[in-house]
Amino acid sequence: MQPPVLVFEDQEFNFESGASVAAVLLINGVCEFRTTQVGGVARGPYCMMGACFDCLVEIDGVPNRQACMTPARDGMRVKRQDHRTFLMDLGG
Amino acid sequence: MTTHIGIIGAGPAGMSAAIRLVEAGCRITILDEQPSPGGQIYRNASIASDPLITLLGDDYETGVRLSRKFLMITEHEHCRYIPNASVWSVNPDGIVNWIVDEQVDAFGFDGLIIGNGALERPMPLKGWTLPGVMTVGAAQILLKTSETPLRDTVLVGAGPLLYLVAVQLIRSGFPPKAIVETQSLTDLIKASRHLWRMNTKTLAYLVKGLEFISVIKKAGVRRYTGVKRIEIDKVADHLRISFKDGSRLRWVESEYALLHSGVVPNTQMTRSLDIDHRWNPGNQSFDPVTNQFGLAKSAVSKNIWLAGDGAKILGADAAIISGKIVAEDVLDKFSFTSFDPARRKNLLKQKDRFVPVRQFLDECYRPSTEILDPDGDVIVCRCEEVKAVDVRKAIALGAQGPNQLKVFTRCGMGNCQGRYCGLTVSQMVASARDMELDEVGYYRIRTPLKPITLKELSTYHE
Repeated sequence: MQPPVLVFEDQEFNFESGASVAAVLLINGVCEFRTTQVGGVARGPYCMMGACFDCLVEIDGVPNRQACMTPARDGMRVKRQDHRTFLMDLGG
Repeated sequence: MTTHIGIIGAGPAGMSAAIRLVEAGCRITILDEQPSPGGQIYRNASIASDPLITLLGDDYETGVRLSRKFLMITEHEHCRYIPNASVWSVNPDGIVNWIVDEQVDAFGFDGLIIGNGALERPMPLKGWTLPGVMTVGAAQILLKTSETPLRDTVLVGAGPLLYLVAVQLIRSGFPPKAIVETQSLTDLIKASRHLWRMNTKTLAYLVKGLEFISVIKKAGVRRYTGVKRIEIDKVADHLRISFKDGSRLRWVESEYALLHSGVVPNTQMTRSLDIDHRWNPGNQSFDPVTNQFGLAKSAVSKNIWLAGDGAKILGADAAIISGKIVAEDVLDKFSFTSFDPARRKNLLKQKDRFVPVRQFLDECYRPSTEILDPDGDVIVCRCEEVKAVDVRKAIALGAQGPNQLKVFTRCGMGNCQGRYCGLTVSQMVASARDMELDEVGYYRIRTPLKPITLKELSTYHE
């Protein structure tokens, strides 16, 4: 059986079932998960327990998902979240 | 209908309370935010592999046994265990609202036990928001859930958890590059006055700590203690952790910096319920107020008990006992025949044994002033990127307290809802105005405790 695959930007990462999206990205050397709305600077996971909200990513087209609280699933598409673009899109 | 008790959190406190209550014939609903029980300390314990259990050590093994026992009682018809559930609101009239997989739901309770645990103390120092800078707890979660140690780390801060994680990393074959500690020898000497009140059982914790330190030394991991002015910068593709070691300016470089300076009760839920909170100068945290059996003090919320580190930081072993104490008190309150007053009294005595250990640790590993009361360009509020200097300016302009500082600076108004800046902001006001922390108070915390979309809210059916 093929191991499950998560697609991050244009890379494919295999993972063990039960891992969170944040764990899969970190294990594959990804630390930068998003850019902030105020300073436009890079951020990554800080607490890994759902409290800090610094690991927000876009998952299957849905923004603001907590990567550390979302179990990775086969075929999931994960993108870095640029909060400024996100806010501008909201403003039309 | 039998009495229905809600339990929030399936960590050491929630699990042990659940076991006692179900065995006593009580009907319970237990919600937990993670996919498997254990809380953060025993995260994944019920499904961990044998090599991982060996690597994490014998305290984790206690959690393995407890989690397995808990999963057995969840089979009982009176026990409803809901994993992956985030509680976004608790109504003092006896309703818990939660969300699982984008579906909201609710239950009513006769009594509620909150065992929602602790958060790592905020560690506002220069560079703490950089990618690659995480809490020591975050690294442990990665180890417990994915059996993957972070390679190339420097551990920064104060407290026994630094040693435990260092030992776990050494055992995994990836020792940290260095441990940069803020406490000094003077702190240790001052703290040693608590030693005489410890018994053999609690002294065993200290012996274990000394063993850890010796493992760290043998592995050749350099410890710097009593350091000041810690700063983290991004240099090329790695982090540079620089600090003052006595009169010398030093730095170490690594891929990850792991921060820790003790843990504090997670008070978001207890505050939203208008439970009283009091400043604990020992742990430098606001602790919710309860009676000796864990029943919360509040003008509006009745029949709410608090157990474990969410009530007072005493560690996992004490949390297991405190879960049993609140369970016994619930049985007393709702007149269950299985209530055993002698058992409750004995449990209280057992829990009290942990107090001198905590007092020792509080004093020995007191968080540094730099972290408690930051200055300059250091970011205080991670979400809204509010700097210490901005908070200071707003206080000088007349912001009266934490809630006005929100209006002045937006601190505490981002996604984490103040979890990682609340204590810092309260402390900064107290220092600037020379006030007591209890006078300053804290952010007003309101529902929703976790962000929830309107789409999710619309799935609510009465």
